[in-house]
Amino acid sequence: MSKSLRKDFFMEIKKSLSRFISIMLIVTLGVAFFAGLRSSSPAMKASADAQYDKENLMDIRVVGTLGLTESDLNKIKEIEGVKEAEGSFTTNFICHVNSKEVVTKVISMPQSINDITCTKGRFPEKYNECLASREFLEESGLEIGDYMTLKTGTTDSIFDTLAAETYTIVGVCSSAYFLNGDMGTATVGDGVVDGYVVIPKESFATTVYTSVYLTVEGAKELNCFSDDYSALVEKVTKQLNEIAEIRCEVRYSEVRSKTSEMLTKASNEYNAKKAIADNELAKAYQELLDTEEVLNASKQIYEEKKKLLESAETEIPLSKQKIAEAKQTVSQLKKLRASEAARAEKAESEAYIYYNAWKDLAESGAPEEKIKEAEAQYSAIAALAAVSKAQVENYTKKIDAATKEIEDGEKLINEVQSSLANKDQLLAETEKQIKDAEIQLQRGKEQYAIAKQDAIDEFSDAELELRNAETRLNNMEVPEWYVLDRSSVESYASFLNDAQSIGALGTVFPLIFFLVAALVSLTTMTRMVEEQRTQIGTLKALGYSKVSIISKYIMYAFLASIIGSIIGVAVGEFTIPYLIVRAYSMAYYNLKQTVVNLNVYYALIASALAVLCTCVAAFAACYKELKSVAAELMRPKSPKVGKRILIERMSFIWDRLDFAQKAACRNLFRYKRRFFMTLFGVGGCMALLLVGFGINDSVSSMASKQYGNIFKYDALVSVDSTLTRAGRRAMLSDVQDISDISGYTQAHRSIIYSADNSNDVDNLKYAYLVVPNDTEGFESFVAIQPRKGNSKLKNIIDIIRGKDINTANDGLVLSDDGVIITEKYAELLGVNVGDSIFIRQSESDSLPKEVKISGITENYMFNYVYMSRSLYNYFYGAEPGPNILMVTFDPKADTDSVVDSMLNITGIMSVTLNDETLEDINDMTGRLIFIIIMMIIAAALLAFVVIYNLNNINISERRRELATIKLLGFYDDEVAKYVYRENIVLTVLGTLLGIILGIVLHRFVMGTVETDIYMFGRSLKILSVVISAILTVVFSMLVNILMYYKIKKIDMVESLKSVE
Amino acid sequence: MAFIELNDVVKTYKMGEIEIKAVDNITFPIEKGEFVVIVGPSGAGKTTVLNILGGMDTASSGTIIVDGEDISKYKEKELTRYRRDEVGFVFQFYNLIQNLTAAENVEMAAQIAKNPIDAAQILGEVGLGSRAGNFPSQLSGGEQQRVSIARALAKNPKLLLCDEPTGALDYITGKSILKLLQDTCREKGMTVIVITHNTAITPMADKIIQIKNGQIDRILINAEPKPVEQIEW
Repeated sequence: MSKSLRKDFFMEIKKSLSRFISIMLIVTLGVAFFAGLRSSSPAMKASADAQYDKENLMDIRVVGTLGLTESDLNKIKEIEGVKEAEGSFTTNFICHVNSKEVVTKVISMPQSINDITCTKGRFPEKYNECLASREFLEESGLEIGDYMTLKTGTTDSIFDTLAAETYTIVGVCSSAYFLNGDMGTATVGDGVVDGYVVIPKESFATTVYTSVYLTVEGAKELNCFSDDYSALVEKVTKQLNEIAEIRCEVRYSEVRSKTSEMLTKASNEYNAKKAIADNELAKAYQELLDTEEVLNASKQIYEEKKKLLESAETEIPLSKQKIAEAKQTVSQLKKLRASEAARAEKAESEAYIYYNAWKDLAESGAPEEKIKEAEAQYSAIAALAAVSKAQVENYTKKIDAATKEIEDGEKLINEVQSSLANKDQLLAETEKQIKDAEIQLQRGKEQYAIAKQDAIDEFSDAELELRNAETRLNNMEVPEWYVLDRSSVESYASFLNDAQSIGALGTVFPLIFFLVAALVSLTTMTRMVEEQRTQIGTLKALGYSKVSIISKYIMYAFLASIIGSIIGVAVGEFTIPYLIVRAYSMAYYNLKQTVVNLNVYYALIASALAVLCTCVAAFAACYKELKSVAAELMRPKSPKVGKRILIERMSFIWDRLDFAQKAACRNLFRYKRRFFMTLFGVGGCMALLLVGFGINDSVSSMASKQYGNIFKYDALVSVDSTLTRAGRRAMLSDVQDISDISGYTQAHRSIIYSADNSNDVDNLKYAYLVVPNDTEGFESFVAIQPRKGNSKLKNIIDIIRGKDINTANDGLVLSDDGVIITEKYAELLGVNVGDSIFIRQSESDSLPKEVKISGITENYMFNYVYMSRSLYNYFYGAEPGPNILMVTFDPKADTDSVVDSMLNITGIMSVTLNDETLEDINDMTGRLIFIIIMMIIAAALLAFVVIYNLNNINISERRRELATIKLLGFYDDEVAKYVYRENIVLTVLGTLLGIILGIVLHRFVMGTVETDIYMFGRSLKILSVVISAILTVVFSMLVNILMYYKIKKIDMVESLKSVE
Repeated sequence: MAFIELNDVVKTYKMGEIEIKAVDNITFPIEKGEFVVIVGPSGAGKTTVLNILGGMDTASSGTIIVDGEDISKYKEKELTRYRRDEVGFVFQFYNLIQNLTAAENVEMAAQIAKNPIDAAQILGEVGLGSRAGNFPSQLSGGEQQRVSIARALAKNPKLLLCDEPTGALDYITGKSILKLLQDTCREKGMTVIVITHNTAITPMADKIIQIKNGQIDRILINAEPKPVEQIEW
C-alpha cells in the first residue's frame, strides 16, 4: 500500500468512525459471546477439577453389596497404579429436630481421600462429636454446640452401626464430593438425603466398610474431565474388577454362616413370644366365657323373681276371701260357743240342785232306791254339763285357730302388698345391673377381638419378616463389587451435564451474532464502496492495481473486525466464563475455585470466523465495482431504479398510502441486504429477550405448576413405617380429629430404579414409587393427567388418523394393567405408553419387575411412578406399607397450628408444607435474574448496532433526498417519520420473526439445560412475549431518537449541490 | 409596495476568525407576476440570495418582505411553513425521489400544501400526463425537470424559485424548460425567479438583477421580454 493510500485509509477510518465502530461492535459482540460461552465449559471443568484436586477427591470408589473388609482393603492397596486406598463407613439415618425429619448421611472422617474442609468450629475429637454440613444445619436449624440424635428409621437398633446415638455438633464442614446439595437417595425417611454429618471412624461400631475410596497414581495432574484421565483410571478399574470375584466369594461364605445363625435365634425368639401371646389370649378368652356364664345365671334369677311377684299379686284376692270366710266361721263358732256355754251353765246349776237333792236324800237316809235314783239323776245331768263344757272348750280352740289364721292371712297380704309396691323399682334395678353386665361383656369381647387381631397382625408381620429373611438367606447371592469412578458422584455428573449445556448454548447463540455481523459488514461496505465510486474510478484511472484498491476496503473490514475480535476475546473470554462459573457456584456452592484461562483455540476460531465474515462481505461489496471500467466509475452512479412492488397491484391498499408510506414500502424491498440485516438483528434481539424471560417462565412455572396444579394437597406428612396397624388406626383417627384438616389420603412412597430393559444396570434412573391406598379420590390430591399441550396435539393426530377423540375425561386412571409414569421419566427412559420398563427396588436389586406403562402424566419436579395396590401386591407379595399422608387444609386454616397438632400425634414423623417448598424453590430460581440481565444486555447491544447501522446507512445514502424534502417545507418530525417508517416496519417484522426464533431457541435451551429430575415448563408466558416485544421496540426507538439529531442536522442546502 | 422587497440585506459568514460578507447590502423589489432572472458569476452571492429568499437561510440584517410579510423575522418553524406554503423550488438536478413515480413525487408536495392543485392536472399542464406512472429513472432529464416544476407548482406557491433549472440539460431541452417557466409566468401570473450564471437567457426576463461580489451590480428592466424561442446561446 503506497503512502498516500495508507494516509487515505486512516483518514477514511477517522471520517467514518461510526461506521467503523459499528462493524467493530458487532464483531466484538459475536466474538465475546462465542469465545466466552465456548470457553465457559472448559472453565467450569477446570474450576471443578481444581476444587477436586484441592480436596483430594477419590478417583475410584469400590462398593460391595455386602460391604468390604480390612483384607479387601489390603488387597486393593496392592494393585498397581493405586496411590492411596482408604476404607470408609457411610450410612443413612434420620435425625428428628422439632417438626422436621432430616434424612442424614453419616460419614466416617476420612484420613486423606475425600478430604473434609472444616469451615467453622473445629474437627471432632471425641467419639460423640461430629461435623455437620451446611445443608444439614439449614434443614435442621441446629447450630454448632447443639446436640443431635440419630435414629435408624427402621426397626434396627442404632447401636448395630454406631457407638453413640447423640452427637455434639462441633463444626461446619464442606466437601467437594458434594459440590451441590445433591447427596443422593436413601432408603429411609422420604428417600432423599437432606444433609450429612461426619463422625470419627471409631464412632462406627462395625468393622465392615461400606466403601473403599482410592486415588490413582498420576490422576491428580490431569483434568478429571479429560480422556487421558479416563484412560488412566480405567486401567485401575480393570484390575479391581479382576480381583472382585475372589474377594466376593470369601465375603459370601462369611456372611452366610453368620446370617443363618442369627435367623435361627430370631425364629426361636418368635416362637417363644408367640406361645406366650397365645397363652395370654386363651386366658383372656376363658375369662370372658366365665363372665358370660355368671351373667346368664343372674338373668335366670331375675326372671324367677319376676314370675313369683307376678303370681303373688294374683293370690291376694284369694287370701282375702279366705280371711273373710274364716271371720264368718269365727263368729258362727262364737255364737255356737255362747249357746253351748249357756247350756252348760243350766246343766251345771241343775246338776247342783240334783246333787243337793241327792245329798239330802242320802243324809235323810231315804230309801236306797230313792237315793240311787237321785244319784242317777244327778250323774246324768252332771255328765250333760261336762259334755257341754267340753264342747265350749272345743269351740274356743277352734276360734283361736281361725283367728290366728286370719291374722296370718292379713299379715301375709300386708307383706305381699308392700312388696308389690316396690316391685317396679326392684325389677328396674336388677334389669340395669344385668344390662351393665351385658355391655361390659360386649366390650370385653370387642377388646379381645382387637387384641386378637392385633396379635394376629403382629405375628403375621413378624412371621412374614422371618419368612422373608429365610428366603433372603436362601436366595442370598454372592455379593458383587461395584467399581465406580467419579461419574457416580451425583454432583460430578450433574456438573458435567451443566458444563456441556453451556457449551451447547455457546454454539447456538453466537450464530445469530455472526450472521448479523456478516450482514452489517456487507451493507456497510457496500455503502462505503458506493460512496467512493468516483475515488475508485480515479485510482483505477491513475493506474492503481485492483488489489491495492480493494485492499483498502478489505483492510478496513479486517481492522475493524480484528480490533473487535481482540476486544471481544478479552471481554468475552475472561468475564463470561468467570460470571458463569460464579453463577453456577451459587448452585454448586462447594465449588470455591474459579479457574479462567485464556482459551486460545476458541479465541482464534471466533476471531477467524468474525474476520472471515466481514472480509468476505467487504470483498463481495467491492468486487462488482472493480469490474467496471474507470470511466464508468467516475460518472455518478445512476440511482437504484425504483421498482414497483406486489402490494401496488392491490390498489385498495396502495391508494390509501401517502407518499412516505409508499416510498417506505418500496425501500424495504429495494435494499434486500439491509432488509435481512435488520430483520435478523431485530429478530435476534427479540429472540434473545424471549429466551431470557422464557428461562424465567419455564423455571418459575415449573414450581408453581408442580405445587399448584399437580400436587393439590397442602402438606406431605411422613408416617412412621414401623407403626402397628392399631397404631396407624389411632394415628389416623387423631388426624381426622384436627378440625382444620379437610381431607387426607394414605400412600406408600419409596425410591425405585428403572431402565427400559432388564439387563441395563448402568443407566438406571431413580424415581419415587407412589402407591395410593385408595385409587378413588386420589385425583383430588395429585392430578394424574397428560400435559395439556400434549393431549391437544394428540387429538389433532387422532383426527388426522380418523380416530374418535377422547373428550370424556383428561384424567388418567390407575389400573392393574400397568403403571403411570411422569413425563420426564418417560423421556429419560426413552419409553412411551404401551412400552415396558423394568423396576428395581434398589440399584443392586437383581430381580427387576417388568411393568407396562399405561399412561404418562404431567409433572415437572422429580420423577414419579404411580402403581395400584394390587399390582404392588402382585409384584412384591405384600401390601404396600403406607408411609406418607397427603393432607389438605381448610382454606381458612391456621397452618402453623395444624402442623403443630399433627406433629403431636404419635407416628407422625414430619410435615412438609407445599407452600414452604414452593418458596424455597422460588428463592433458588431468583438467581436466574443474572442470566436474564445478560440476555437483555446482549439483545440491547444487538438491536442498537443493527438499527444504528441501518439508520446510518439510510440517512447518509438519502442525505440528498432528505435535504430536498426538508427544503420542500417538511417539518423535522415529518422528515424523521419518513426515515423511521422503514425502521418501524422492519422492527415489527423483526419482532415477529424473533418470536418464532425465540420460541425455537427457548425450547432448545430448556431442553439442553434440563436435568434428570426437573422438567421445565416448555411454554412461554404471553407476558414475556409482550415484555420482550416492548423492549425490542424501545431499543429500536432509542436508536431512532438518537438518530433524530442527525436528521435535524441535515443541511437542506445540500440538496442544491450536484450529485457526488 | 412591491410584492417582494429586499431592503439592505446583508449576510455574513464566519469562517474562523474571518468574516465573509456573502451578500452585502442588497436591495431590490419584485412585482407580482414578474419573470426575474438573477444573474452573476460563480461566488457572486446568487445562491445566498436564493437561500434567503427561499427561507433556507436567514439574513444577518435587513428585511425581506414577501406579500406583506417580513420573513427576515421568521423563526425556523415559521420558515419551514413559509417554504411549505409559499415557495415552489425547481432544482438544477431535479431532486426527485427515485422511489416514487412522477405522479407520486408531485403528490408528495401537494399533500403538505395549504391549497394544492391536483397532481394529475398539473402533470398534464407540464406535458407529462402520459408519463405520470413512470419512475424518475425512466424519464429523460427534461422530463424529470418538468416533474420537478410540476411538483413546485402543485403547491400553488406565491413564487417559483428556480436554481439553474437548465444547468444539467442540453440546449434544446433547456429551452423547452425555460419556455414552460415563461408560460407559467405569463398564463398563471406566477412570480418566477430564475437564478443562473447564464447571461444569455436574460432577454426573456421582465427584470434582470445582476450581482457581483455580493452587491447589486445593476438592475435592468426589460420592457419587452423576448419569447424563449427567439433567444439563442
